[in-house]
Amino acid sequence: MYIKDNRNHQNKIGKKFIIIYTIFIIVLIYLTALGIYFSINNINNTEQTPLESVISNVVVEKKKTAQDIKYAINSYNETYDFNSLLIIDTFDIDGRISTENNNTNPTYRIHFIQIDGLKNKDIQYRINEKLKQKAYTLAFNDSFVDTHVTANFANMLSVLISSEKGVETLNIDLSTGNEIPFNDLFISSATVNAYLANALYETLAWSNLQPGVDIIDMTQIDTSDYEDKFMMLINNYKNNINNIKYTISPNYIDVYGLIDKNILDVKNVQKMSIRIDLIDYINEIAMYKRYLSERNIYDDDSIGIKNTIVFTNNIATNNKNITKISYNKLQNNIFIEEYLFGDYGQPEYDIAKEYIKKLSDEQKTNLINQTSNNRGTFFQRSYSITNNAENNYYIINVNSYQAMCSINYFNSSAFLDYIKLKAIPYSRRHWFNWV
Amino acid sequence: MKEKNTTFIKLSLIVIAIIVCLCIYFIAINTYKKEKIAKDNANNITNEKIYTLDNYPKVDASLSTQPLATAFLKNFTGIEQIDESYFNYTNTHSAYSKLINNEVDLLIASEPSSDEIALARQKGIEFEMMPIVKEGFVFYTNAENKVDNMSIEQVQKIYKGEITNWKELGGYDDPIMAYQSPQNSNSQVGLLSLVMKGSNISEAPRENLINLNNQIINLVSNYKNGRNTIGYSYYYYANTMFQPIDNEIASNIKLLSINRISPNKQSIKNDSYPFTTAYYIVINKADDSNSASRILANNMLSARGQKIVEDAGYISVK
Repeated sequence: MYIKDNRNHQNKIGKKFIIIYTIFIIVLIYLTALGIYFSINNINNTEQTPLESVISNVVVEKKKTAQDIKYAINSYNETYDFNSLLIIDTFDIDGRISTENNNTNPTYRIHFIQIDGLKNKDIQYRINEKLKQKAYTLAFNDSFVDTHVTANFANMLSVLISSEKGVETLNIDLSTGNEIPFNDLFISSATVNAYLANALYETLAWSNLQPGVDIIDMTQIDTSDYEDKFMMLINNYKNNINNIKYTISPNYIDVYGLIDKNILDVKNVQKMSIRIDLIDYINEIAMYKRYLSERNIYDDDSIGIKNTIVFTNNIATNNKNITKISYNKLQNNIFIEEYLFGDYGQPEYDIAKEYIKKLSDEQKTNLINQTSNNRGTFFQRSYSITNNAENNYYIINVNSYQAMCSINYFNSSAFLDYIKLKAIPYSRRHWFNWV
Repeated sequence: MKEKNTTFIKLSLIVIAIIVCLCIYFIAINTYKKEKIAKDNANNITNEKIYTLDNYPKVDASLSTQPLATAFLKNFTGIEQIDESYFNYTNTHSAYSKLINNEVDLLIASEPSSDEIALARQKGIEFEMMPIVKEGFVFYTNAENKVDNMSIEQVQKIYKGEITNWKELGGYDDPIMAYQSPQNSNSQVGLLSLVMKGSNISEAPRENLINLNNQIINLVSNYKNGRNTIGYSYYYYANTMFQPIDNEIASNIKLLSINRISPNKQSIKNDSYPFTTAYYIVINKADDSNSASRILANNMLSARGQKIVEDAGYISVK
């Protein structure tokens, strides 16, 4: 009986094992099939473009963030400094080199610039050689060559050299003497193709201007092939990527040589440029900070104007007869610009200039008293001096503009409006009181 | 003792089962890999020259596919540097006219318009169209936008002006800046035909440009990336425009998925992404199997041709 019970018990255990083992084999086969399926899928994984990999369901290598994002501008009230550099206009007129352009009827004239003021004289020499050689490159085909400095700030120098037949550009990092590659103006995550397309869009729009017409409505213009033209421009850019001709300024980048007759059929198309308006891409612009160095690279660092608001061009640099009196934040919620227009080097103007300084100091005190902590103020003033025929009295002409806004607006958006306002022609500007 | 033997046998059976399954797994994977390599080799993707510039058929292309037409030419002739004067590409409409008038052998273009089909019929010509490139119509936004996905209806409502704030889609409380493309441009036509399907769309954001002479141009604003922006275009165009300087870096613009389908090469190729279309090889249907156009078409549709398509940045059909 005992033996029979034992045998029955062992049979039950055996059957139990067979059932469990069968289930185990089925699960094992299922897992094997699943493993084969996913492995085959993995083998067949397709390549992804940078855009789609951001939200793809497939596990891909995570894209890096731009290491050079530290160079980007974060706020419209950041500032930059002009370089403490002397720019010397130099002329080769019929074989004679001079800093004077006094020959009224030359056979040829090559205008180039030379710089002075860098501490490292070797770098300075190399830069001067480049500036000269670039001008002579154009002179090979043409007799009259002009050089124009478009940027002299943040340790960068940008020049446009032009003649009847073409243009050349040169963009230099003053701290090393090396030329600046076009893409280095931006941080590495910047979508430069789109910026170029936007720039071409505005160029194509402006090409529809007609004489005597002040306003153009683009809905009346055929824009059906504009996207095709953007792609043509991008192809031209890619084909010339190591040799892009461009100039910079604090508020835009002009790119030359990318427009061909298929994009815009105009005369001298090879000299045409498209303009990238930097204010639209604030977080992608690296040029303001990329070339700054901890050490001072100039003999005398006090020459260049300091603390100019980004994306604006300080008016005083464009005209020898404008003296900047103020261009800075008076305190955290007040920004002041004051200029003296005119050439007043003679001693007889000293009293008038003293009086102007007194007016300026009084105005600054007024602004501080008027502007409460929860408000922000922009103040702009120009002075000029006139005198009567006998020079026995002087008149100081003062034009003032003031705009006030909430402190939140001053800190967040006001500088953007301020920058845009400076880009509008004077006759269309108006100052208004922000509320 | 007997029990110990039984336990040993049971454990052995389990271990043997596991080993057998592992063997099956590795044999299956290795066999698949060998078959794949053999299949690729069988396709014979070589780069030998099969044409010269002189005997290469006359090809025209729409502007979007001209880079592809050039890529085919360079690969099939083995010539990298070709003088620009060789290329006589026009645009979609002119290309169809040239095919109708027998001035070219083959086009790579979008679908013909009804006018072009009618014109062909008048001349007794019927087009034969073979898809060569798949294309998707995509929507993009700032990479920081919380919204990753929209339904077709939500997209339509944005462009009708019925959804105006990202919070309605689960995003930040920001008004939607729905940029549009220039009037009658490829993207604008694509939005109207593939997405809006006849519905009216709201007016596009516009801006004024002012010059120093106080002249003003009022125009449709082009896409400028911001946290609250959305734009659209074809997949190839978007990937070209919004490619970062450094491809290893994450872009600051992302493509939105539609109905939970992310637009990528796979989903556009297999039509799982809702907004897809194609570019076509177009020849005269009457061209026989030995004609230059048909031989070139077959070369373009071969494994080698499809690899050229992929390498040029487009989405192949195979």
